[in-house]
Amino acid sequence: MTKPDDRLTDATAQARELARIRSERAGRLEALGTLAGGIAHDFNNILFTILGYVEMAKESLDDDAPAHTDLDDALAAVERGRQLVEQVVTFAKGDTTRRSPVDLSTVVDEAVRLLEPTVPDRVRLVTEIHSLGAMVDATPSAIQQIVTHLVRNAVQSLGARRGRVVVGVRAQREKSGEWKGTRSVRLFVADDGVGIAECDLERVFDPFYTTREPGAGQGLGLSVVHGIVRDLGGTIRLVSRLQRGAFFEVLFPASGEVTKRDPTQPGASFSRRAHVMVIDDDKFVRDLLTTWLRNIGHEVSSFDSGETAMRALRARADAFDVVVSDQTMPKMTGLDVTRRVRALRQDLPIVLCTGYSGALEEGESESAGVHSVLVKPFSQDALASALDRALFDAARASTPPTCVTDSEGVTS
Amino acid sequence: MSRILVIEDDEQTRRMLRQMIERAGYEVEDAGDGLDAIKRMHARPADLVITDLLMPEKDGIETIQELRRDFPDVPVIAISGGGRNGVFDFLPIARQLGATHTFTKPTDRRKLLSAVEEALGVGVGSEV
Repeated sequence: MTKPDDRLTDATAQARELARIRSERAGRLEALGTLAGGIAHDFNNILFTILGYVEMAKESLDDDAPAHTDLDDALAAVERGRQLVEQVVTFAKGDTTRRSPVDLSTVVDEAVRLLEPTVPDRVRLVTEIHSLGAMVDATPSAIQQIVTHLVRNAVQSLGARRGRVVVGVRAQREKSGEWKGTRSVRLFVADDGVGIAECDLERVFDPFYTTREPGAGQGLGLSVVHGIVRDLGGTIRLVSRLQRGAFFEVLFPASGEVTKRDPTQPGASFSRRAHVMVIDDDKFVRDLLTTWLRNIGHEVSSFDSGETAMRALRARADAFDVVVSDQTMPKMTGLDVTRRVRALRQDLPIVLCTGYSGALEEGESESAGVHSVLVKPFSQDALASALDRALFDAARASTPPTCVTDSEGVTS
Repeated sequence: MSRILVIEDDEQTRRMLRQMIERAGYEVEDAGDGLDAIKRMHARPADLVITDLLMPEKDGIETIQELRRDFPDVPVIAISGGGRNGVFDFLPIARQLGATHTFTKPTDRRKLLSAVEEALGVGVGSEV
């Protein structure tokens, strides 16, 4: 007969074995991802070289040369190779486009268990699941990547000191801000590490930006998190002070909930050619925004400061349909621009671009009269979608009340 | 004749790109990494740069950042075979840094050459 002590020993041994298997599996998946990425990169180089030479060979042949058929077969084989590589990469990185309802608390719990063996003993990794069965539209691998990068970042911020990293999930209905009235699921990672200086806050999500020693990380983790969260239609907030730790919070719309951030929302599309006022002190960003806006058919006038833009607006107040402005500029900020625009034209929608959502106090942009906030880095599609919505809402506001359709219920 | 600098660490791919672009009527210089490329640009700036992203010494992202700083009017086309770590695509970053066109390898000759024409013709300037 088995004694209670023996059962306890068995259970402990089983738990250790389970932890070891999970740790091995996490390592294997990571190694597989690295291997797949490496093979894909080199294979794509090879395919590119073959494709280039075959196309050049075809170019030098007479139109009726029989070798065209053979070379076309070679091109078809290159295309098959390309598709195969694409499948391997999709498998390696997970595909956020094939999302389905996922229980965030279960996936986060699983991700934390996988990470536990990799966390140094001096760090206590704690989970706080406040809401079981909190469903979001995602893929488990995307959530795992978010948790992994945020926890690694938190552990690294503790450096050599002892500390705590808390990973939590909470479902709720948002009472204020851009998501007001929306059912959301929050995933948070908090640490009591060195924190982030105010001057670095705006840049932590920038690719290759790191405050750590060389070799302690590429500075890509938070950019990857930012990209995944954006793809999933969520948003990320960061609260931190130097020596006071950091609090990262990812907000997802609850599964089935439609938010302002969802570019696929039916009825949101409102395409028409508009005259866009672009304001950004960074020439590269200004040029990029101009190119993107022209690509989607808009007329653009760009300005390198709020002051020059306001001069143009005062001269021709009715010439513009929408403003896209950077928030952080040396003299006049995006919010300052918004207030000046409001004094000249109440109806001109303003889309504000910022390095990260936490740069603005909650409700600050709303009360200043900003239509929507785009968090950098954003895609051409995200910009197009924000503009469509701004133009749509501006047109709706100027329409007689009898024609107004009530879409508030679906836009949160 | 416009001069194009091709930056590519894979020797076969570099040779193929060189031939393809020369046959289209451009003068081509090539470099095996970003470090060599930046030196060449300072010695004699090209009219257009076509760069790979994952390379030893100085990668394409860092190279684009330096090019945008030192040669802001020279357009850059970025080509990538995908992230070596399997989870991250660097082309959106290249776009954000100001690459006028980005391509995933393998891309066909027609698309690449029309991007070259467009980048040389349009440049990156805009009204201010």
